[in-house]
Amino acid sequence: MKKVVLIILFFISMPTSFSQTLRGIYINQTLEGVGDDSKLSETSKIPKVYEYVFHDNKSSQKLINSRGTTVDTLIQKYEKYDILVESTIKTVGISKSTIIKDFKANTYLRNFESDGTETYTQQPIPLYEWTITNETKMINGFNCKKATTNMNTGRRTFNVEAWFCEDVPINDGPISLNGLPGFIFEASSGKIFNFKFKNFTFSETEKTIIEPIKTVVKLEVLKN
Amino acid sequence: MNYKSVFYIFIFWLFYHTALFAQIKIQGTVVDDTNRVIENANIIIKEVNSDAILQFTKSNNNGVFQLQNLKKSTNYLLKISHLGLKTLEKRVEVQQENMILPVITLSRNAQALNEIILEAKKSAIKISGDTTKYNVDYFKNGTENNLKDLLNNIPGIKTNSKGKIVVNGQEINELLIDGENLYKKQHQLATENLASDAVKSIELYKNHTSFDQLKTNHPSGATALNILLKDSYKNKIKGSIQAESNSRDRKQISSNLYSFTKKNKFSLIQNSNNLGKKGIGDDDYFSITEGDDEQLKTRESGVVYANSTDLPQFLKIGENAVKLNTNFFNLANIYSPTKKTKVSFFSIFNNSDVTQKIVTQQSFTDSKLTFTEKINSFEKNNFGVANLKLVHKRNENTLFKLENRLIHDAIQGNNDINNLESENSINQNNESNKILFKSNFSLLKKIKNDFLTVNTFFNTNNLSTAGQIFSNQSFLNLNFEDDFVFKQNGNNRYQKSGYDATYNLNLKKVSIDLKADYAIHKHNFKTLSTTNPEYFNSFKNTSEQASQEIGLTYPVFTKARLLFRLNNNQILHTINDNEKLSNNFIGYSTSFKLKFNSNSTLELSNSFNNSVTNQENIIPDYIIKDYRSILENENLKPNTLFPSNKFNINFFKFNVSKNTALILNASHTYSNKALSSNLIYKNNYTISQFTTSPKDKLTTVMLFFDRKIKTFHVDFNINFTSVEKEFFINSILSKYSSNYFSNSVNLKSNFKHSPIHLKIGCNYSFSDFTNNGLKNKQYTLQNYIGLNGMFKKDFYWNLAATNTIFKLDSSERRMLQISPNIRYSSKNSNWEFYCNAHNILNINNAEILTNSNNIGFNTETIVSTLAGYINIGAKYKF
Repeated sequence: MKKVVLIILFFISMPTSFSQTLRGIYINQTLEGVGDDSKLSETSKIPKVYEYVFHDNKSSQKLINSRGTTVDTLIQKYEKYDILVESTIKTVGISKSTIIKDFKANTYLRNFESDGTETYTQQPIPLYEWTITNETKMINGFNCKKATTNMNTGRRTFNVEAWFCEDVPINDGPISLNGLPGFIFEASSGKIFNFKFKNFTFSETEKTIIEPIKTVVKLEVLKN
Repeated sequence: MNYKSVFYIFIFWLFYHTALFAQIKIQGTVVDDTNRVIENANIIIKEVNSDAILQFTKSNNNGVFQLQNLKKSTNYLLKISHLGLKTLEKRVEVQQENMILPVITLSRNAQALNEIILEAKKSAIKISGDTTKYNVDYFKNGTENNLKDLLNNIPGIKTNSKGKIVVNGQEINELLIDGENLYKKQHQLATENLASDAVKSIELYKNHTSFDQLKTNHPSGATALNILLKDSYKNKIKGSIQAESNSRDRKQISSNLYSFTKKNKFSLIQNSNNLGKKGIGDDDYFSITEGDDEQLKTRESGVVYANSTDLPQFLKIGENAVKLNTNFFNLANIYSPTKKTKVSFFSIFNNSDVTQKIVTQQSFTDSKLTFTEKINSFEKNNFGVANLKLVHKRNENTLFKLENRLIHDAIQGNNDINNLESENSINQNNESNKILFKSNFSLLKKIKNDFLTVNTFFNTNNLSTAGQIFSNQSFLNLNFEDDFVFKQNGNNRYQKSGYDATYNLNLKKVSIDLKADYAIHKHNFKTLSTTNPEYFNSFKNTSEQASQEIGLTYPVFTKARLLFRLNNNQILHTINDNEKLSNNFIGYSTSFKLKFNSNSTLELSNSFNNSVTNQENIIPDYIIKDYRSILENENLKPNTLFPSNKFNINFFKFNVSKNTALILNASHTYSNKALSSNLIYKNNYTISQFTTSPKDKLTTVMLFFDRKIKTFHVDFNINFTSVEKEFFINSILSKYSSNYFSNSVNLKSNFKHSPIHLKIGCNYSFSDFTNNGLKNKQYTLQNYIGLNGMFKKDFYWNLAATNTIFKLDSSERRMLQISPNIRYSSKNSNWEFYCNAHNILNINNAEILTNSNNIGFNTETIVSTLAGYINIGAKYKF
């Protein structure tokens, strides 16, 4: 009887080993705009902070310090005519951004809202062809290696440089990046984006549910 | 079909298969320990002995993975990992194409990732409670040679100009090597001799209690730094030997040996040189001759002012000699047979031969009396101290301590003096031999919250002196028969034995200390002359001394503490076995200490004390000091008391974020009855009589500021001392005052990766002395710059340049010292080669000016300094 109880207990306890949860934050620092060489406004340069959770083959990345759209008044002095001129600057920012990757179902869900417009997309998880260069760097105590790839958004191609740690067997990273034999701690493309992972916390027993995004808008399924 | 075409087909078939041979593919299946297939396991393949990833893939939903384009007969390392399972690393040798590996099982390990995270979080500095642990590898930048270089790289820790380790602005109380206080206060013996490669980790303990103390309920406030060594440096004899020389016979041989095992720690340091390098500094000398317990007491950020007459000659010389040979030897050993017992032995021997060339002019206030002399002196000094201490800590509440110390100091001096005014040519020999033995047995006991300490002690000090003066003329108005020769011998014996007991009562808020002590002191002082037997001194004082003290510590509010102590003393003197004299006096001290936080304290204190006169000053007849000075006692009695009142302010602040340290210490001591002199002028000599004077004031201010600005360290130091005394000239009251001001500014670079490191500074000092309105001034200005760096990976260079200007009222001297050196030291080799040049612009002896001044006279001296040298040397480490 005791043996049976023990075996039952053992099987009950099994799934917990697969309920490990990784949490942290990604900070994205943009220093340059895409496209023309106009200067990026100071408000756009404020780093964006995303909350990242990985659990049971699903990961979620959510923007937590949204600024939305801001309108600033700028007062400038024209020396020539000795007058003060008022001008307004409108910076369009993202007020909501959620990315959910489901590695089991192979879906990549994105939902973001900006200046009143909400966009929702679903596609298979993008496949990246990585080239590992074997340069190494210590990030927050983790031994990381460098890998590069090209990110194609349909409109442009970005050269992405990522640093991943093969000791952490989670094949995920910021935004749509994934597929390296280790967790991506840093990913950047020149001055356009620069994601850094911080506050790495891991719990073996935390069970959390990453829910797909609920929306009443009709789905527009994109083909890769 | 002919054979040729068959042959070609065969060759083609062979090539086809060979080409295929290059395309080796391996396949495997990953399961867990219940035989369930694992999907999305990471598969990485690397070359053996390389960390570079060649290929990577993932297992599919059947647990199967494939790797292609591998080379045959090559050893690969396969690494398979998955969240929640233990990572497996496996060697694979690809023997055939389409190799199928046996099933790979990953065992369950929920801890795996946690362990990786903890490894990663093993950050450079970890603080837990009162212990701070430093991960040494993080702080290395490749140029470190010894422990001193390593400590200076760690934030908050550095070594100061005296070689002492300073943490967060304050000197540490104890330096431990693997938990043992082997080097006492001689931090530089450890920092300069332990290789940086020997250090595994460094720990800092706050509120530390050393082994020979009992832990109290209050935080002790003491800090200790523990250097933990790598196992490869333990249970072995390690060390180094170094030798350098040049064609002019300037040389140095030094060696150090250390061996650390679990129960025994041993260190031996030897240095013989004629380059003017001291084996031991002034601070260290005082710390040896003072008791251990004085050093381990909770530190206030106080400053110690020492009288230079207390320093032995070999420490005062520095480079002010024509020739200086030093042999220094230090042995330290701590043996811990059990966890409760420690036997520690510590000894220092120093032997030096000094040849000096001095031109001095001494003029006396309010008189035409001036002595201008050319002196060639030769002195030999043997100094040794051996200290043996046994500590047995029976349990957390009981401690036994037995400490024995033996000091031997022998000086032999020979001076050839030429007096330019009187054309007197003198040869003076002095010999003194001092043997000092101290023994102290203590019992420390903790009784609930209270402490009991009982000490019994025995001290004996025996000094014998012998002197001879040969002259070509009469001197001191003595009676001479044939030659102008004077010989005298002296013996000074002192013995003290007694006990003291302290009971420390810790009530809820208040803490009360009760102390009582009793001792018998025996002074025995004799001099006699073989050439002039009419002159002799004999004095004996056996005194019984007792004192009782009560102390109160009261916390005024949470961050402040008030301390008050009152003592009562009784002394009964028996002079020359018949006359009886007595003393009865009190003393008190108060202090108010404010502790803003652990890095900022302020203390105000005041104390009033009486001290009995030094029995050696009770000279019954007179003592001949040299051919033109006589010492006498005018009106001191064996029970003459000298009261003194002292006010003190101590402020310490360390700002962790800005990395700034500020220390301020100001004190004022005054007395309306002090030991002084009455100078009596004769035609060609002076008599100095011990007497009491109604005024003696001393004011000192010390300000020290240290700050880290970006990649530089700046420190700034101001010292101010003012003395005001009254004395007598021919029994007429006269005034003496002196002011001393010094200022130094130092800037040091702290670059992590730079070919050059920089140190620059400026020291300025000014002093003036006024005797009855006659003023004498002196100032020195010193600028220095030091550059050091590394080139071609293993070559280190160092260039130091110092420019000093000495200025007295009548003369001025300048000295430019340039000292370059270059060193070759490779990580792969135990050998090191170097070329050391010191003061290369003064290859012949240069001269510096010094001014010594005291009540009633002013002395200007020109001293020859050691010549510079260029040496080639080698060092072997084992």
